[in-house]
Amino acid sequence: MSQIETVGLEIRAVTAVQAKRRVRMVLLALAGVAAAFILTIGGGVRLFSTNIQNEIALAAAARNAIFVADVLTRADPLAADIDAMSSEISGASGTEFDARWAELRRGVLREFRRVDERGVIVDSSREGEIGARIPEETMLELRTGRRVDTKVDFIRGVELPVGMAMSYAPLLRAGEFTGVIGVWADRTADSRDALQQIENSYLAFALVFLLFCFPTGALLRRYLTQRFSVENELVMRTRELLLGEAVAQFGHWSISSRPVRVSLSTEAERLVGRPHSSANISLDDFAVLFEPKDRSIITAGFLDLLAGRTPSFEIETKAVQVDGKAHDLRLVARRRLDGTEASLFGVVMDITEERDIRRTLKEGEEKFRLLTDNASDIISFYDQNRVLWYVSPSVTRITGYTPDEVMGHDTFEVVHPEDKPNLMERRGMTGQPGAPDVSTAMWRLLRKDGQYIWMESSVSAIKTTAGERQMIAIARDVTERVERENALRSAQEQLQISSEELRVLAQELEIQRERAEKANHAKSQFLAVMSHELRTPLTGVIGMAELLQGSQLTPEQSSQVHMLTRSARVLLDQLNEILDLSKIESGNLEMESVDFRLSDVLREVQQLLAPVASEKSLVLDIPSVAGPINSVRGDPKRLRQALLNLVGNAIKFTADGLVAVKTSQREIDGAIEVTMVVIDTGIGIAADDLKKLFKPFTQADTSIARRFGGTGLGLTISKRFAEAMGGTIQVESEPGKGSTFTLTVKLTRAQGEVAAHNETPVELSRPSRSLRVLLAEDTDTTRYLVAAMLGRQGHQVTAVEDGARAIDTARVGAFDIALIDMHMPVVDGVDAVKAIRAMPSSVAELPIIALTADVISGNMERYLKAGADVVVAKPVDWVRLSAEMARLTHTHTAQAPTPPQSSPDGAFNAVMIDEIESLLGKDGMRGLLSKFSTNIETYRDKLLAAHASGNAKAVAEAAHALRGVAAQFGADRLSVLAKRIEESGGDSTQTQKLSAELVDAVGAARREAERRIAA
Amino acid sequence: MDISHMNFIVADDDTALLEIVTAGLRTFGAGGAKKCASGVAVIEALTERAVNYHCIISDYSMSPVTGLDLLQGVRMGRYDGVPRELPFIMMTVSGKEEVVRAALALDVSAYLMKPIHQPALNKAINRATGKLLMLKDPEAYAAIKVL
Repeated sequence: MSQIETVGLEIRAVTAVQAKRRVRMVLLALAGVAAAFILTIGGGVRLFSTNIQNEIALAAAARNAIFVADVLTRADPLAADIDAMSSEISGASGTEFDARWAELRRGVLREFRRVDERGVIVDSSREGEIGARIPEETMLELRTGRRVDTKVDFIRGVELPVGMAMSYAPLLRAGEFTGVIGVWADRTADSRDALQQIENSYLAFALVFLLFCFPTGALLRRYLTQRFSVENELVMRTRELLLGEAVAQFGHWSISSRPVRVSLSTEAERLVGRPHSSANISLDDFAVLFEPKDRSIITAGFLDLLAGRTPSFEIETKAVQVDGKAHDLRLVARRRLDGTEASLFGVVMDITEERDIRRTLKEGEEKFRLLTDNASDIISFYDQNRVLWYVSPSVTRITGYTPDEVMGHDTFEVVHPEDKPNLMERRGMTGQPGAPDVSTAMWRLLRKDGQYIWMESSVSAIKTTAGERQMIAIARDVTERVERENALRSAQEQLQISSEELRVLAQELEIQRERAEKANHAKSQFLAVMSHELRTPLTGVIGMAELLQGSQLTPEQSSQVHMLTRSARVLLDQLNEILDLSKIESGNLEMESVDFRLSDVLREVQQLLAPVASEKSLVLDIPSVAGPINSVRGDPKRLRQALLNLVGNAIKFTADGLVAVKTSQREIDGAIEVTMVVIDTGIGIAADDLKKLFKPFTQADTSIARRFGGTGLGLTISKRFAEAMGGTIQVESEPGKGSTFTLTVKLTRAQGEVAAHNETPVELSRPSRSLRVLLAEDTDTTRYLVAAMLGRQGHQVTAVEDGARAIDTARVGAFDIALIDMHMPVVDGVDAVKAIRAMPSSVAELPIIALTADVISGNMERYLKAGADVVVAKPVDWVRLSAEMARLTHTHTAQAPTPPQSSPDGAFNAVMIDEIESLLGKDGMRGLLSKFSTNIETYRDKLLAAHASGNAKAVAEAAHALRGVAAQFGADRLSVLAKRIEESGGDSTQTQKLSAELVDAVGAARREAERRIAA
Repeated sequence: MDISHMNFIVADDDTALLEIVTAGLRTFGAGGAKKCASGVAVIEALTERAVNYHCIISDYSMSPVTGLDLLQGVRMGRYDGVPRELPFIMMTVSGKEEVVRAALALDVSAYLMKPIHQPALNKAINRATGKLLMLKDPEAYAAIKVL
């Protein structure tokens, strides 16, 4: 500023009227200085050696200086050159670039520099400059795309000689700054030429002038000398000013009042975007250089200032500069008076950067304000003494205090006393060497309403430029979270306590469970014993009832006895189920592993349940075989029981329609998986009830238990049996449509083909032979019962009540078979059997059936080991007993007398014939039998013919017809064969084989029929 | 149960069986029994209608007209003057599931398994004649596929 003031002062000496002259004067003065410079540097000292020479030199220098000043201040051709060059080089691409440059430096340029984009000189006309750097501020300027004209040699740090100027221009390639070229214009030679010319012309003039007006010349000389020294200084200062302006990008201008004209300094011209324009412009021309909105303000402002209506004028506006960008400028004007003439003097400066910085700062601050003022967290700034100097408005919402209330206060005023030490420690550490930059703490804050809330704050330390430590804190209300955490913690603690309690409970439970298990085991044991104990007397009841049935009774008595028997049998079944279950539950379930035929199991189930189904008018369809493999190894009793249960249930829950069994089998890894599907058309089971079906003591519906009876144990037991056989029972059902139970068991192949039992059912009423039987049984009822039943079958029974007597009797008597109870006083059954087996061979080979109520497998083994041929459980299954007796005595035929058989082929089941006879009388029966024998031959012929012609359907039809009539007449063997042919499903080989048997059976049936007709 | 007022049709293509069932009916005290040795004979008897029949006992497996065909005809009301709800007992020696299901759908009154025993016969007659039948539309019966 001081420089500007000085200049202003100097310029005040020049009158406004002489504005034109003054400018010229300035230039002259400048030229004078420049000339003096040139002369001094150029060694033109001689010009000052004489006065005349001085005058002449001065005049010449003055003229010449105009030119030199021009070169200096305007550097027009140079600027144009450098602009052209830079655009030419910039426009060149790749290799062309270097070529262009080489061409230029070879031909056009005398003095040059090329600078890369970092400011390093890469090429120069002068030696030793490569690698040197251009000052960074110049580079900054160049990088913005501006040209730099200078009189300073940056590299040597000296001003250039008069007549020399230097221009640096940026090289922009596709808008990118790639480097700089610098060119010097050395016009000193031109100056000298010009000087010489001027010198010569002025020499003549000076001579004349000196000759004729010497005194005047002396005056002039003095005047000029004085003036030169003044103007010399002025010029020096002006030059400095201009240089200063160029460096500072700070221009000055002035406005004269009459007429109103604006004159601009070089830098001012550049700043307002009118470089190298003529010196004076009108105020309007000046105003249009700025933004339209500011033009009238500027004009009016200046005029007001000129007229003295305002003391000063200042405006920030924009002008478009040569780089095409609008720059922010500040114009400042002051009024001054030259006598009565008012004029304005002002400066213009580029404030674009300042504005940008100000804007950025403002934006930043606004953002910060926006952020902090709207933050939900409290943002605060405080100094080392914890005195707040900023706090965000959110403080009110959280604490109840307004920012004004807390500003200037110690932050610790609101901290809970207990939290202060911790907080102090943390805060004190924050930002200190070795401590973290940010510290986080939880503390309690005293709200304005006197309540404490939990705060979580994060504090960072910052160092201000002044070196003070300041704190920025962000704090939030975490009361809710803390409460939640506390709740969680207490819940966890509670949980821990609970889990401990639970553990103790679990231990107790375990103890209880063990106890319960023991109790359960005891219960099972109890049940086993009880049911066993109950079975024995029950057997007696049933036996007696059956005996009664065989005696002469009135129809009413007969019906009563029938009911008694049935009730007792139901009771027995239920006892058996409970016994089975208790055995399963006490872990005493042992599965047998014996060879048997699947067909026998199916037949037994069919035979046992056919009457039940028939009674309900239900169709019972059970196949005779369960697939290609018939002889298997496993537990036939359990399998039969399971199937019996399923089919029995199906019958029980079916009112109309059928109960059918479908069988299939497949081999898996040597095992035979047998599947028996029991289908019924019964009431079905609801989906909910299906789940509880296999649980003990539950029936699908308690009303079912009332309607149909039963313990509901059957399914549970059957399933356990199936599982023990490596299978299971599954059920599907649709209420109203029926149910499907699928029983699967895994069996193994039998050692060989299991011999067929007599396929015809055992006839209880008519034993095939009369046997001499030794019966040893200690229970009176049972002994009486067994003896009576066997006696009714035509056997001769010798009954004894203990083991010792059994041994004695066996020794003396001739018996076909012995039935020995295993539990007897004096000598028990096992010892009795052993004793008999130890006797001479004729007695020792006596077939022995062990009778026992104790059906635990282990014991059975023991009895068999002792020498019993077979074990028959009590209560006695008469069918089974008869069958075993027949089988055992048959194997001992050698010593058994063989009475003649009533039905040598087993062709007829006498029951059916008896029934027919009772229906139609003897004659009627005879007539039907002859019809029967004709019919079966017809069917046989049809069957054979159909088989011969390969008509499987016709074969099945004929077999079906044959089966029906054979069954009706009790020709069981024939019926079974017919059934098997029907089931063979057109298997030719099978049919062939069975047909041969069938022909034989037809023959036998026919012979039997004829025999009976003849009888 | 007194069935002395009732007339039966008994159908079986095996003459021996026909005799036995008829004899059984007599034993039970039936008023009358028409013996039919084929399904066709049953249709003739129903069409002829010499008497009013109160119950049909028919074997299933007859050819060409099966017991199921007869049952369907009755339930559809194919025979004039024969009530659609006429008790119908189906005899069979074996029961194919589909056949039994079809018979159930046709509202068979009872099933009778061969060999036929007197008590079962009596029971079936009791069941069949004592049953209250909720008849469906003839179309519903017509829609049932008989085998």
